[in-house]
Amino acid sequence: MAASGLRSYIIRRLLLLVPVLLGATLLIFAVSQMFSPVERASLYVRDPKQLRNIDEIIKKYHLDDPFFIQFSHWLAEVLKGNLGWSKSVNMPVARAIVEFLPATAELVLYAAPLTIFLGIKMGVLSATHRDTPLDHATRTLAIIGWSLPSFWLGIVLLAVFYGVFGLFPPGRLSVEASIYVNSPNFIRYTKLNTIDALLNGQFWIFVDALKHLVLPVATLVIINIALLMRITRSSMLEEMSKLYVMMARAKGLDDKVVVNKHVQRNALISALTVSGLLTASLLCGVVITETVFNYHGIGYWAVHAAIQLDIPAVLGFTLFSALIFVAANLIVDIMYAYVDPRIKLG
Amino acid sequence: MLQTAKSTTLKKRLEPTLRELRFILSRLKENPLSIAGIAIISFYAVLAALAPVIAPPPPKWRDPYMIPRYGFIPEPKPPNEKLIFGTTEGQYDLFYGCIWGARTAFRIGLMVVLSVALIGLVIGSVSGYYGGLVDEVLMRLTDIILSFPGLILVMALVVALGPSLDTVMTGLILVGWPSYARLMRGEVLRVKSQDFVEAAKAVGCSDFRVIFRHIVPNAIYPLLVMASLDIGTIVLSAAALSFLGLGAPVGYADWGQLISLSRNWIIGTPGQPLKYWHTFIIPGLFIFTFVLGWNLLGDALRDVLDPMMRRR
Repeated sequence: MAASGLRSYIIRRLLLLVPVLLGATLLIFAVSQMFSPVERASLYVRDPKQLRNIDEIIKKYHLDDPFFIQFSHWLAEVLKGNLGWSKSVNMPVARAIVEFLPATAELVLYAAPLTIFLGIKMGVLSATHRDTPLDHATRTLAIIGWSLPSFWLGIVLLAVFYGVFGLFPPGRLSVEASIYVNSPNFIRYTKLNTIDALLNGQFWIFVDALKHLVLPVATLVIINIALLMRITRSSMLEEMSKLYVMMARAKGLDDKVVVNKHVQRNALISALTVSGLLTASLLCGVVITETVFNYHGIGYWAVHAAIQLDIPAVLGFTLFSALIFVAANLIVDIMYAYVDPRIKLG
Repeated sequence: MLQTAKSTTLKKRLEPTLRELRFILSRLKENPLSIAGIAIISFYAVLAALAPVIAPPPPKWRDPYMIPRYGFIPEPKPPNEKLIFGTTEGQYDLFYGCIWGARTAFRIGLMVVLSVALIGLVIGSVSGYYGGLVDEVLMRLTDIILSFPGLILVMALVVALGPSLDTVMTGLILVGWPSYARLMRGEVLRVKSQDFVEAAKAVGCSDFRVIFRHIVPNAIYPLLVMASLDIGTIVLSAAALSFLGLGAPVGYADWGQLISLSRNWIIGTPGQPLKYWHTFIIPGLFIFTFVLGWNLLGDALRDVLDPMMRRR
C-alpha cells in the first residue's frame, strides 16, 4: 500500500515536470528572440566563410518562421543535443558543458557535504542552546556570512592565504601536475582530479588538486552555511515547543535522547529540502567563485561566454542549470515523501 | 465645517495603522541588532544624500556618477592626504566612487524591491482572489521562472538585453517577482474566506475595492518582511553582476564595479603582498556593511511582524 502510494506520487510528480520543462525552454527561446534572425543565424556559424550563405542558414533553422513553428524546430534541435556553437571556446555548447562539468562537480562534491553537515550541526547547537552566548555567536556568524559578497570573500581569502602565506594557489592544478594529468600515463577515470589521482596512485597530484580546492570550497561553505543554519534552528525551535516533546520530557526521558531521537528527526525534514536545493543552487555561487579563483569549471565558462556575448553558450548553460535545478527539486520532493508519510496523501 | 469632519474621519481611519506603526517602532527599539541595522542604513542614507557635499565632482563634470580619474597609469596609488582612499586601477578616485556608490546601491535596492513587491502584490492578489484559470496560468508562469537558479537567469537576460546597470535592474525585477506573488497569493487565500470580506462583498463593494481596501491591508505584512530581507540580497546580486563585468560600466560609481577593477591587484609585489589592499578592502567593506544593515533590520522586522512571535 505504502509503496504503491509512493510510486503513484513519483509518477504524478514526473508528469508535472513536462509543462514546467516545456515552459522553461519556451522562456529561453523567448529570450533568444530578442535578437534578429541574422544575429541568431550567426550563432550556428563556425567558419567566417559560411557567412556568405547566411540566408541558407536562416532557412535551414527556420529563423524567419512564425514564433511557434520556430520554437518547435528549435526544440527539436535542442532535443538532438544541438545547442549551437560556443565561439568563446570554439566548440559546440553541448561538448563545452561536458568538458567543463567535471571541474564544477569536484567543487560541489566537497562544498555541498561540508555545508550541509556544518550548517545542520550549527543550527541544532544554536537551537538547543537557545539564548546562550553560543546561540548568539552562531547567529551573528550566520548573519555576517549571509551579508558577505561571495566575490569579495574570495578575493580576501586569496590575498591572505595565497598572497601573504603562499599556501593555496588559484586555478585547478599547478603546471607540473597539469602536464602529468594530461600525459598518457595518467588515466582519466572520472575527470575529477582528486579521485583520478588516487585511482592512479599519484598522491602528489591528489595533494596538489586539494590545495587548489581549499579556498573555493571554503568560500562556498561560508556563504551558503547561513541559510541552512537558520532553517535548521527555526524548525528545531518550532518542533521543540510541541506537546510530544513536553510529554517525552515529562516522562523523564534523557534530554539528549529527546533532542537526538525525537526532535531532530522531525525538524531535519525541512533542512533536507533546503540541502537539496542548496546543492543545486551552488551552481549560482559557483559562477562567481570559479571566476574569482580562475577555476576552469562550467561557471567560469558561462561568465566568460557572457562577457563576450557568446549567446548560445549562455542560453545553453541557463537551460542546463534549469534542468539540474528541476531535477534536484524532484529528488528532494521524492525523498521528502519517503521520509514524511503525510506527503503522499496530499 | 465639512473640512474638519473630513479630517477627523481620516484621523479615525488612520488610527489603527498609526497604532500598528507605533507598536512596530517600539518593538524595533527594544532590539539592539535592529538599532544597529537602522543606524547603518541611516548612515548610508546621509552619505548618499550629502554625496555632492562630501565628494564634490570636479567643476563642469558632466555625469556625477562617473568617477573622476587622476591620470591613466594602471597601478593603483595608496591612500594619501589628498585622496584619502587612494586610487584604484586607472587612477579612479576610490573615495569618490565609494561615496557616490551609496547612491547607486540605494537606487538599485529600492527600485528593484519596490517593483518586485508591487508586481508580486498585484499578481498574487489577483491570482488568489479570482482563482480558476487566471490563477492556474499565473502560477504556472511563476513555476517556470522559479525553475531557474535566479542569478543565472538574470545573467542570461542581461546578456540578451545588452549589459548595463539598467538591464541588471530589469533582469532582477523580471526574475524576482514570482516569489512575492506566491507569498501574496497564499495570504490572500487565507484572508479571502473570512467574514469581513463576505460582508464587504454583500454591501456591494467592487472587486477592486474588496481586494485592495479589505484583503490586501490584512495580507501584506509577510510581503513587507520579505521585501526588507530582500534588499541586501538584491544589492549583492547586482554587485556580483557588476563584478563579473555585466553591470555598471568601467568608471561608474558602483561598489561591485570598483572591486572588479581591483582584480589584477589582489596579490601585491614580492615582499609587499598586501600593497594594494585598499583597492578591494575599502569598497568591499562598503558593500558588506550596507547589506549587513538591511539584513539586521529585516531580521528584526520579521520577528516583530511575525504573528506567531508578537505581543508576548
